[in-house]
Amino acid sequence: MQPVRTIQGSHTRLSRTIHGVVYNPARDEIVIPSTHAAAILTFAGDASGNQPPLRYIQGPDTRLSEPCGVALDPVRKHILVANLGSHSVTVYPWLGQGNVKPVQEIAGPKTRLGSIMGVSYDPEHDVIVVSGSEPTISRSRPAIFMFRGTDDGDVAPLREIVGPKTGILGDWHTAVYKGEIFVSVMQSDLIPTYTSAGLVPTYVKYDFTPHIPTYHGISPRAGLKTIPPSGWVAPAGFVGVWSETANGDVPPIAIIKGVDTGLSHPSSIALNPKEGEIYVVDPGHGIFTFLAPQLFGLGE
Amino acid sequence: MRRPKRLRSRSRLGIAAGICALASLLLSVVSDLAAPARAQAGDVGQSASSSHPSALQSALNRALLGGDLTPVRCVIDHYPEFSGVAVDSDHDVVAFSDFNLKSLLLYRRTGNVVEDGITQPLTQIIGPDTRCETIGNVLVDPVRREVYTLNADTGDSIMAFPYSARGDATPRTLAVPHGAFAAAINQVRKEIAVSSTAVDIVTIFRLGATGLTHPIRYIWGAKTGLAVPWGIFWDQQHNEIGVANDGNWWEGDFGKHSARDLNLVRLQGAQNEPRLKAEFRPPSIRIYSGLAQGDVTPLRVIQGPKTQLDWPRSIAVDTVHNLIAVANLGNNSVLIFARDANGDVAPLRVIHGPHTEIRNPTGIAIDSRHAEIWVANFGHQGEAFDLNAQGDVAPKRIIRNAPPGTPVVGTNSTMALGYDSKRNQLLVPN
Repeated sequence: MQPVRTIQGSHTRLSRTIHGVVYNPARDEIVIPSTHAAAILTFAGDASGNQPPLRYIQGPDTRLSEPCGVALDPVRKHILVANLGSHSVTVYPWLGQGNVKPVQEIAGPKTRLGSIMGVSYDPEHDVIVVSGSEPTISRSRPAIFMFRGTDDGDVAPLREIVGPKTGILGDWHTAVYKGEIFVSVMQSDLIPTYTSAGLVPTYVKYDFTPHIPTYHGISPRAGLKTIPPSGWVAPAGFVGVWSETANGDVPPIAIIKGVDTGLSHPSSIALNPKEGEIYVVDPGHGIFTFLAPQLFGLGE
Repeated sequence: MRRPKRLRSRSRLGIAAGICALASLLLSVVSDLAAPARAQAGDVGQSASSSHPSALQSALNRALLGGDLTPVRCVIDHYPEFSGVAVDSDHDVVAFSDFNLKSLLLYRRTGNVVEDGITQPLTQIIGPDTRCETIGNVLVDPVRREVYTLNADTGDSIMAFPYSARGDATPRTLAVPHGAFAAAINQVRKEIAVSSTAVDIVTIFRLGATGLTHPIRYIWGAKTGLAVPWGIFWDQQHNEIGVANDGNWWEGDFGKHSARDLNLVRLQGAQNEPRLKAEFRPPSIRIYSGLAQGDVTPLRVIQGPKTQLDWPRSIAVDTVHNLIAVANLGNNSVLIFARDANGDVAPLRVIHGPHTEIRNPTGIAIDSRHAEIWVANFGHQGEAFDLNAQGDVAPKRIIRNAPPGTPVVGTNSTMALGYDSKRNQLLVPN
């Protein structure tokens, strides 16, 4: 089937690398990060065609840096952003426009945030959930981080799900529902071969061996002897469910995984608790709907 | 490691259960492929040497809490979806890159056989050994009779195959910066230029380079004006490189102000941090000297409202007729400019309208010898137009990879998903 509508064209301010999207039912709006313009775009919920955003957040004071995941706090009316480039979570009023400063910024070595992709928010427990990996420089591990909704600055996470028993070799996005964290565990291990100057995050190979690169100018990663294996040649991904109270090296309490699921490397997930449906997108494969009401409410 | 074959599916979409069942069959092949020798799909969380079931394995056995569930619905396209096109008039070959099934398809320029509405290719290069993943554009080398494609999102590589390649062929591979969408060859200099959308750079390598190789030159920096560079051409007669840009610009893409450096500063406790600029700039075609190195300003820039540029995705140059053609993705058109156009100038001609059947054009090529323009629509057909075509005209020839009227799903490299609870719709960024 083809889409019922598309939002596309130069006026939209969209470009490649859209790693997040969230619908705001309170305002009937769509919030999307524009990674390569360091911006957060807000569209009307019924936007279609080459339609510009209603407003956007962009500028040096925003401290946006390769924004990827986005989430909404409906109580405080905030937009939460996972910044891949600066390993931070920044928070803005959802009516914010232009070069606005974040009202909160979770960043720094105590946070243990590294290459983060996704963010979600549980209003019932006031918990911010961040998916990605631990810090850079010398080692990196994929993890799910949890912070308080009011956290700001260089603060330690409340809890962190990390370790081999989790089965996570590479996570991407999360969705939360009443104390449950649903994770699209992609498992793809992207090893960028080239980069610009400076030390950059390491990526854990699927045997958890740390991997320490150095980069100088535009050149292949030092220490690499051959082109890295494809990120897609990794164990099959899955959807895992953890309780928000989980901490440390713990397996999921529920899982969608296997040949019949059709999932290979699921990248993102959305929930419809009312219908008991879980929507999963798998890049290059398709969009899948699972009817699994039994997986909702496990965190209560 | 076992190498299951990729399938070139010709199945039509049926009822939801049938779709999902077929998807499971196709994707089961991919899932088996994805399991390395040491860790099988069911053994996540369990070490290879352990003989006791892990807690995770126990969870798998509890069907009440999930497990190997069959989806009740899925949105999937079983046919190729073209993303790029290249033409070799010396050997009468037209090549298309297929983002959906991760393949390359080569056809005759004319006189292809059609079965069940589908144009039969001369060959399809497809399979895990090809390294084709998120492939963007395609180009051909008529001198060496090779076809190239690039991984635009993962894989960070450009792959070259001989025209004679079939099925799961192993390419000659060169590592390139992340987000490489298109490349162009200069046969005189024996060099290849690659545009990388994710880091706003054009890198130039020696033609035939393989593996991990330093580029011999690169165009990169704030003065270049590169802002998500997509299509590229190399005018070897005038030794000029042309690059199409979306316009989304961020200072952090240029090494000195890398946000990763910013984080390093934070971790070391420094107090002063640079503030990074970001802008939405107009789309543009930027022309550089073929010998450009480093942070250089372009020789010419086609930019402004008169140009009608709207997400220019691929570009091609014709030095015989002195033209530049643009696949204008944003408004489903093809724009033709003079080769030396500069500034806010209107195109010489525009091909646009329902009769053209141009829809989501992502690839373009010019056949100077036969005076034709080829267009790859992101979907199920590619088209050839007369070089002088203008307005709402029908294509001369159409190459189809699916029966006429087959819907195009149009998703590619989808890394996010949202749910609109008001409209009961899924929001899928691409």
